[in-house]
Amino acid sequence: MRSILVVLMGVLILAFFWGCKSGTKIKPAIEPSQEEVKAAEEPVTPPVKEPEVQKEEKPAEIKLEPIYFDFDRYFIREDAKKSLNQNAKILKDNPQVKIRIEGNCDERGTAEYNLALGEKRAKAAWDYLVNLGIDSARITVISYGKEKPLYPGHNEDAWSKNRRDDFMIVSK
Amino acid sequence: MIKLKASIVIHLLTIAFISFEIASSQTEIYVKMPVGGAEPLDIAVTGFTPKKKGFSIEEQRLSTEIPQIIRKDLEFSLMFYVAEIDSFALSIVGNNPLNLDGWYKLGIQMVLTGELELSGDEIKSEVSLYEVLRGKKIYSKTYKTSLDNFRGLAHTISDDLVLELTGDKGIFNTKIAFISTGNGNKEIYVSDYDGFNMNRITDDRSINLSPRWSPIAKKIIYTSYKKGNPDLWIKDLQAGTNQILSSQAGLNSAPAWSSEGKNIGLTLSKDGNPEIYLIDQSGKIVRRLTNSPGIESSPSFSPNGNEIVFTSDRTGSPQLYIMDVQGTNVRRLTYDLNYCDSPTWSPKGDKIAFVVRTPSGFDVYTIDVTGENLRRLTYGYNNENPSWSPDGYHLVFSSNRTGKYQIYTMNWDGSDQKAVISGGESYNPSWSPRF
Repeated sequence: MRSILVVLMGVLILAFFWGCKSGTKIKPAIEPSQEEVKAAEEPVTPPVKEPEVQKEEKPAEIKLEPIYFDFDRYFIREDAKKSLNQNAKILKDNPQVKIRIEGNCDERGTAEYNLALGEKRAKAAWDYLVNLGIDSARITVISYGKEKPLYPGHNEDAWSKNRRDDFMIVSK
Repeated sequence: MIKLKASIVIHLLTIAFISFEIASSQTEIYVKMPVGGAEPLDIAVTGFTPKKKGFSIEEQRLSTEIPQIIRKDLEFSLMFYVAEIDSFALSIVGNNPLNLDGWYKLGIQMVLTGELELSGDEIKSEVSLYEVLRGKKIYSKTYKTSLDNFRGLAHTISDDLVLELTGDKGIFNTKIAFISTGNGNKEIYVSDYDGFNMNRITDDRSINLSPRWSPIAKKIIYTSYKKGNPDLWIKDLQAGTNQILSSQAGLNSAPAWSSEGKNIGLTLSKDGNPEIYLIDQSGKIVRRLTNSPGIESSPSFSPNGNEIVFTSDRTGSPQLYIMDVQGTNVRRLTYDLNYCDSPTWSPKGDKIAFVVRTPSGFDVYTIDVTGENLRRLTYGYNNENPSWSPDGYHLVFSSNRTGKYQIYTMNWDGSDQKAVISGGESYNPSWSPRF
């Protein structure tokens, strides 16, 4: 069981790197990398020893937490501040890393308004990180509105997870 | 391959293939639009008869199908009661479509008859319209078109009939553009107003949204992530070209053509906040129209071109506002509704259709531009993206009432809601102008 987990983690970490490298291209409608980011959060920072991964270049620990929003809102919640402070610390520790903040919305509401809402959500996180001293030139923002829901459900559980900013590493 | 597809699309969108000659015509107004109390006109559309002796099997099919399409068109227009030609009607009228006495007994005011002939790939049809009471031929016209355009032929006959009787051309050759996920991506499709002849017109393999027909040309603007950023693109259906119109950093979204088809209003976030701008057809910014810390989006122009209705969350939730095209004289239009968006100004100028968040989902409403006469048109599930027919008597919208998003039409008062596009997930419809 434990070895299966180890292999699984390896696959996830590889997938995470792949996701980061492919950060600049258009992604498919269902975007897998965020799940991987979340999954990779669970084991604490020193990652599982996986010889194949370690042969490659190894900026392994860089993983940024998503943040979540209330319905039709774009203010930064208290729980999101904790994640953003953590993300800011990682960005300060890795000054070469550039990121793209992707704003997302749940499926409710119009496509057009949700595009603007996603933009405001991404911009709110941008403001927060820049206020904490992160160079604004390291961060771009994009809104996907409700066009790329990560969770396909039609209930509050899926909606609450889809109202989200993702922090994608675009170069390191 | 892509070129080939484009040429097919152009072919299907070109209605100029129908040539016609007018034998007799006059401009007397027989029927007014029903809104405002005018009574619909009772009309019978008879089956078409052979021009020469006897019908081939194909001619037989067309002689039934073309009148049937015309009947559907006329019913849709709200200007007619279309007689059902059932066994009772036939028992009175008999086999002679010109038995005007018989039609009179049935309460019919107008009769449309037609002759039809298929030679090779060409349909030739002569239709005549009679006024029953006076026993008078109002007009007759001869049409020619290719066999595969028989629906277009029927729609053109309906258009001409409505023009003849009301002074305004019908809307039966209009199209609906919408987003569908048929090939796994969000591509733009175009169909006839009644859902037939559906074609995919983009192959962007990306996320496309908010298609909007030019009010004067076969051009569609839309937002696409084709190059990564949500840019504004323009697809010229006649030329078969597709190019970027606005690619400012951030959003280039929620576009709307100005009423004369010259400029475009849209949301740009290049200065850090979603604001409404006016751009010209080269993508150059004419002026910025809004300035608030919140979200400003979804402009739609009044038909006289003087004003713009738009969405703003400046009071904490999205509400509708009206401003003039300079961005000044802003007034709030909606109150007591908790989420409003997708405003679209009626071509008649008096109403705005929009979407409201309700306890059961999202619903289409209309409101007078004065802020009075709020009217709810849909109930239950999500009903979104209303777009007016060019005559202002119908709306196309998307709804997930069957579990999947599909395209529906309804009358201006919410009556007669029916799916016109089903299959796949389809939404974001936009009704074309008359071509």
